[in-house]
Amino acid sequence: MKTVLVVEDGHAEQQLIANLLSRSGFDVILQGNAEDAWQWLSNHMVPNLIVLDVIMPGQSGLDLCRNIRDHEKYKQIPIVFCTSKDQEFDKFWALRQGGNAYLTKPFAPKELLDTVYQHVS
Amino acid sequence: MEANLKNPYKLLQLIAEKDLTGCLSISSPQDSSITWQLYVGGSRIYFATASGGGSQRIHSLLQQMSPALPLPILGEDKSEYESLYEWYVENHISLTDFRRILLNLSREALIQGISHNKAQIKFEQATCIKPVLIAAPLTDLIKPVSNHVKFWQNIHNYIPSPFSQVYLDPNKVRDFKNFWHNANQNRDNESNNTQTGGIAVQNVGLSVWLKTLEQKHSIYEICSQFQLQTHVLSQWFSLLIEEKILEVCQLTRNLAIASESPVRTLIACIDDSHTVQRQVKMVLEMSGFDVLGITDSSLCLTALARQRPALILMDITMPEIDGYELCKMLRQSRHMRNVPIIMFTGKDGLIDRMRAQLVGANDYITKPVNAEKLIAKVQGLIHSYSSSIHQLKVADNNSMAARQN
Repeated sequence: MKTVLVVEDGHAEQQLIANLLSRSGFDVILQGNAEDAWQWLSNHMVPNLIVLDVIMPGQSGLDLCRNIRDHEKYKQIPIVFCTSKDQEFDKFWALRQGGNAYLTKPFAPKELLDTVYQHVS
Repeated sequence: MEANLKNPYKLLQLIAEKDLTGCLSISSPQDSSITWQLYVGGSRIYFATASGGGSQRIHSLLQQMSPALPLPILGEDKSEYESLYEWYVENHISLTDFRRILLNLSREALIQGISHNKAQIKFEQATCIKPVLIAAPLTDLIKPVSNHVKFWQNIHNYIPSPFSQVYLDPNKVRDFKNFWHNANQNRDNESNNTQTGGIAVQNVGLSVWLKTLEQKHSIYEICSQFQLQTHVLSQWFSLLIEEKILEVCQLTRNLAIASESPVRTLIACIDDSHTVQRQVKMVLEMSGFDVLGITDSSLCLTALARQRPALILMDITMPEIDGYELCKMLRQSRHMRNVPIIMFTGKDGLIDRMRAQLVGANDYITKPVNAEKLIAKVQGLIHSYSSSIHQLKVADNNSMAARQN
């Protein structure tokens, strides 16, 4: 079973993403902020994909993305940004930091699922 | 200007390019009972709303925007905009706040209207709301919500509009319970390291959900009940619909009633001549229609408010209010603006035809007319208004039954 790490502070979004992915056969790990997610990564196996919010309390999703890309063990994990920041520059910048895909909220469940399938390793 | 299955946003751009003023009506092929109406002047939006769904949309959105304010009563005899304007005056709302409300209401309607890639579109030139209180540039309105437009473009496959009613079949209750428990399990597992208290669909108890979904409620109605935003609820429901746990039905309450009872399509005939009334009644009733005869044009608004006809035949020369004036008045009424009007008159001049078109009449028949032509025109016009198709079927069935008998 493929594992997806979801880093998202929004409660409703967390549940939606978790529900959507677990029903599609993924093992979903939920984390509410970047620090907890980094902690989880260092103690567990490498997930097959990360769904990452940008604006979160503490470290931002972009910070976490940079840390992941700088780390030999994790740098190959596909990262799907999922955020309410919808400006063209936000997308450009997030992909520049190492994101593989960029979804804006609200997203249609199918859109997220298609993107995850496309990038999951 | 009328077009079938066109992209509304492209048409809006064309209207902006040509600097036209009027009302763009958009209805999706999936749910033709709802029309999104955008009042535009060149590249600016004066107001946008929906017709055909009653007051549920306005109430749901206002509850979220201004929960402290009493909800407006949308009068049957006046347009939604007029009712909102009266509400603003009566409740001493500041102009700034009212403009904000109009802007948000318009933005929501705009998202819905332009998120259909293919829709039935009609543009009525020179139609405008009064007084104009906002004139928002189209791009300024759309830009901050472009992600919502994209979201609804994807969601429309499952939910044609937030007016769509969702229904849980009793056979699917077990599936729904499983879904609900799974969703809650995710939440319980993670509740230690995530913030709680956000508005999630699961925060509503299972029994409340079951009770709500057993009845056919629209997305707007459920959002009002549970204080949810339409896109949040629609995200969840699209999952349930895809898994065939929930069913979607369009706003069919009234139509369902029409198909179950022997109600025939109602045609109103506004003409001061009793002879004409008798002839029209005879011809149309034989073809399976019901006819509401109104000889006094000054009293017609009350009669029409009581019984909304599927089509109106209207004389021009009448003693109290003439047909042009009456037609103009009806086009300003929220309740009656979408009802097709045929001018039925002895006047045969080009100017008369143009005037009729300018005040919003859909067709023009000169008296005397033979029965076949009248029936053909009435049926043709009703056919072109898809919201009335269901009623027409009932009328057709009745007329067939009458012939067989």
